[in-house]
Amino acid sequence: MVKVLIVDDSEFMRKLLRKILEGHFTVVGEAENGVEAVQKFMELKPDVVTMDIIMPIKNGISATAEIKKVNPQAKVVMCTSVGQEEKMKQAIKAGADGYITKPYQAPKVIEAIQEVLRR
Amino acid sequence: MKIDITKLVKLNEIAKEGSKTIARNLSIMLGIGVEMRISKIDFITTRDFPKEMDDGICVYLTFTGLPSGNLLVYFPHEGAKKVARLLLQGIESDSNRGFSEIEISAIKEIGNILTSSFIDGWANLLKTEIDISTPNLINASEIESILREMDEYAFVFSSHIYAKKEDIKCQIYVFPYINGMIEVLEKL
Repeated sequence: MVKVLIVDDSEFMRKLLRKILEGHFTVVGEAENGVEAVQKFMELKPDVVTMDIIMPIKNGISATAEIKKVNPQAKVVMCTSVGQEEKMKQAIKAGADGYITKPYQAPKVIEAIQEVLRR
Repeated sequence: MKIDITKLVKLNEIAKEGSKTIARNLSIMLGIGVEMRISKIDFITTRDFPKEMDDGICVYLTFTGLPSGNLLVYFPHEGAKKVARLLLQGIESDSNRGFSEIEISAIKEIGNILTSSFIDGWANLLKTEIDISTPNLINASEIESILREMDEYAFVFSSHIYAKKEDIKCQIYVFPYINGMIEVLEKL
């Protein structure tokens, strides 16, 4: 089964996303900031990372850029309440493969991850 | 300072659109019908800000860019408990009169999502970038100390959101700093 790493500084959003993903994918771990995300990416080698943008210590855009530097084939889906075009452009420049906007709607989340995996 | 009334009308329309997005997003998150009842712009002195918000909690965020400012999402205490209960369906939580860690996390996140709905509309319209801080949860009684840090005069965008079936209401107050707001009005 496809392995997913969930990155979000909100415990509630991590639990909510885990609830949506389990049954479709294997959630191999969670990280609550960008630094932890890069560490867990290297340690757990997930197929997909779901990445929040606004986080303390290191934001999701910087973490995505670092993950892509470590493994250019890594798949990163931005999960964020930020709908600003400028921020999304930055995320794409950092290497994001797709995005999901909060609030989460389960079918859209599953579809976005499957779409990224198909590429 | 002279303000073109047509620009204020346009700003009010943007605020209304933002409030509708907030109601739509809240409805998705809670799984119940939610409507926006009032959305308006007031020009106030910050000491005139409503004082009746004693029993409740606020999600407090700051935003920086054009414009910069402060943002509060106020929930009366019982409403906040109901919101947390609806958000946490199927997720384990210890519940009592106070708020558990996961309930606090849920309420902060809902404040984050709701306020992003509002601020993103401005950023896209003005083709600018506005950064939003991570959310903080405060008691409503602490609002006064936050207001003291703000400009004496403020444009306040207030939206009242209701989920009637569950007797939930929340109020969203956006306090952009005046200088930035004047620049925004010039750009419109």
